[in-house]
Amino acid sequence: MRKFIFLVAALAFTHLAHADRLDDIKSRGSLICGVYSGVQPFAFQDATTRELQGYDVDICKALGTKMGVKTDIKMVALEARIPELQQGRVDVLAAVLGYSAARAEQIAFSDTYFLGRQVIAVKGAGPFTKRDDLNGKRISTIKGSSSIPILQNVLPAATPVAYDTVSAAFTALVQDKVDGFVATEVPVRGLMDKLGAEASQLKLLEPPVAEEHWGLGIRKGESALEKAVNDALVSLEKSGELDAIFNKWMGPNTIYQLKRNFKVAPIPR
Amino acid sequence: MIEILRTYGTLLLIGSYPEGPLGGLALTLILSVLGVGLAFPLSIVLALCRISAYAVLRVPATAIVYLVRGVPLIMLVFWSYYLVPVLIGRTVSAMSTLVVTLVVYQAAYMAEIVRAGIEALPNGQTEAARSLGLGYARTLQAVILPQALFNMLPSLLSQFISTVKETSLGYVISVQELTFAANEVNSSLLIRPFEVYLILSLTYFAVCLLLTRAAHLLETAILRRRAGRSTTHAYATHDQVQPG
Amino acid sequence: MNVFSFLTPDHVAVLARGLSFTAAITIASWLLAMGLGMALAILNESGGRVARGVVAAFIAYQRNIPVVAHLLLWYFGVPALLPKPVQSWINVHNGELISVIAIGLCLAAYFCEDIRSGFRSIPATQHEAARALGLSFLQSMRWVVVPQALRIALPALVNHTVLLFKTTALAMAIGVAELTYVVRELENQTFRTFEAYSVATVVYLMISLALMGAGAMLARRYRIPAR
Repeated sequence: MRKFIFLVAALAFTHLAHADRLDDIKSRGSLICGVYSGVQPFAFQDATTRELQGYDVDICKALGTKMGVKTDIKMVALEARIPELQQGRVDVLAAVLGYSAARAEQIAFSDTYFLGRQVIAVKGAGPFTKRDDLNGKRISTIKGSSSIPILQNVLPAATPVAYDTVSAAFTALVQDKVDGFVATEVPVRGLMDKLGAEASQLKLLEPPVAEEHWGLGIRKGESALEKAVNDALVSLEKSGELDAIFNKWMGPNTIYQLKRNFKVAPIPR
Repeated sequence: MIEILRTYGTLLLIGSYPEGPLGGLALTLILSVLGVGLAFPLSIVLALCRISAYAVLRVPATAIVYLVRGVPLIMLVFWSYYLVPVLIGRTVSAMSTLVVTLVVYQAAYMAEIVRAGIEALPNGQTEAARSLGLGYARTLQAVILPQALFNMLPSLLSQFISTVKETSLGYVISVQELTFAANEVNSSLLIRPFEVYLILSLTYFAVCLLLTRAAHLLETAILRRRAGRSTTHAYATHDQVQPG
Repeated sequence: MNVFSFLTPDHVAVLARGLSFTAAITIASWLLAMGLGMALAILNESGGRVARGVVAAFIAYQRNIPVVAHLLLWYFGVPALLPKPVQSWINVHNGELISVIAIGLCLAAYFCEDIRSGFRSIPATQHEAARALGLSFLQSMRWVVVPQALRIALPALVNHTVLLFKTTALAMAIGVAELTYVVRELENQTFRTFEAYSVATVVYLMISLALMGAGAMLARRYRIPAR
């Protein structure tokens, strides 16, 4: 009998001991937000001030303000995004994270905060005119990217070659080490723009490889934090702040000239 | 190339400090010092276990050394990254996991160096000490280890140089050391990879060459002190494993 | 956390393919490193100050820079300098070829140092006697000095061979689908971290131990009795 009571008490204790992530954030007074740096315009370092800025960074900061805490931005490697979140090194991931069923088994996704089209970039002078021409060819991507399982479905005969960073994968295309580079359209166009005069060397192929809903990553089981994040996103949309952030980085005054084409809503499964 | 250095020099040297955590070359050096500094005591313990008369100490120590030497460092980095938080039950920064990996890796290699140093001493030393009535621990502390470690100093310094090079693997787990900073610079510039990576290589070259010269000077000084005592030739600097 | 359920036929096929790349790169780099290391060591013995300076500079450059930096410079940096036709020729198997070059050159420096210390352990009288008997410099090297030096340097050479094998894991940084690369891919897609890395660790460990064992056997067979 005594053992049973002890066991129950121990179990109760462990339940109590597991403090809610949201409470942790509130008591700590800061939200640790993981971003993937090196992708314009989502998160990148300004050359002179060495400060991180971008769409993902601004969303993080806005979230922090809505929750009434300050925001700590932490850079994570693309492949290490999900482990960093699962191990609790970051509270929230705003790291160019696209929804996939496999990922949803590991972590929880917030509502949509960006809708991305994954396209393949190729050399303009090359023989490829549409997406399916690249079946059987080498396509560069980044380790840990969702492009790899997507490619396996869409272009099963293509060989994905995964590099550690976005710039490595892009440079591989520029240097003709691969036939194509697959990534979300917006950062690809940002990279192409960096090439300057040689930007016309590259072109994007239609149709897109996939349309991906991006969500903020939250550890599984943290329902209070999930709710807080989604509430914050909805209120950002209502107040027009989301539009402001979107237009700042991808709107009519930027090279991308996009209009916000998504609503903040739970990601369709 | 000079403009790259001018624009991005600070990023390469100290990372995004103070806008962010310390990084770049400064972090590389700190990681190396921590790695070797913490590995040193551990390596002495491992070496003593390796030559211990008790199998319960010798066998696990030998197994650890062979395990660490037989697996690529990048594998050990991944293991630490995923395993350390589980083992100690709370989250650990990426920098700490890299330090842990370096400590374990260098401890195994340095243990072999220390072991070679101890075994190179003539048996007469131990015998004399024991016959003077000194116990096992006291013999080690007063007679064996000082000599062995002094003789092995150049090899140990070259392990430090190896550690500086090994920190370059940190970029894979997003530790913002020098190679990570160089990749950042390359992401910003995109069209000048040769210059960026040449700067990266030359920076490592400069740092390690300076340290190698220091190791040479140390080695000459030690050889002069040992002159006349024995004719064993000095170990080549930064051999990651010693012969035999 | 079941390793055997992880080893499905697809996964095993993927791992085997990765291992075949590792093996190919190891063998190719080893041949390059050994050949170049030997050539540089002999050059160092024969030549005057210029030759020795070149060898010393080469060794200093290769050994003071991490392999990752070498790989990144060779893979992304150097092709940007080459003319276009050469670039396209390299591009077909670029990752594998460049990793062989980068790793081979880097380890050539280590092998050269080992062979040189082998040379140092052989009394100069051996070489002089061979020359006195009428053998040319290269002949005396080939038939008298090098065989002895190799036997003496064998333990260090074996150690550095194991090091070369482990260094091929870094080729994953430039997109080569060797064992570490495919294991990371499997881990990213299946999220089964522990199983994936365990399998890779065991494979690396077994091959390293096999190499060390083979080295020990060679050392016993070719031991010079008088030493």
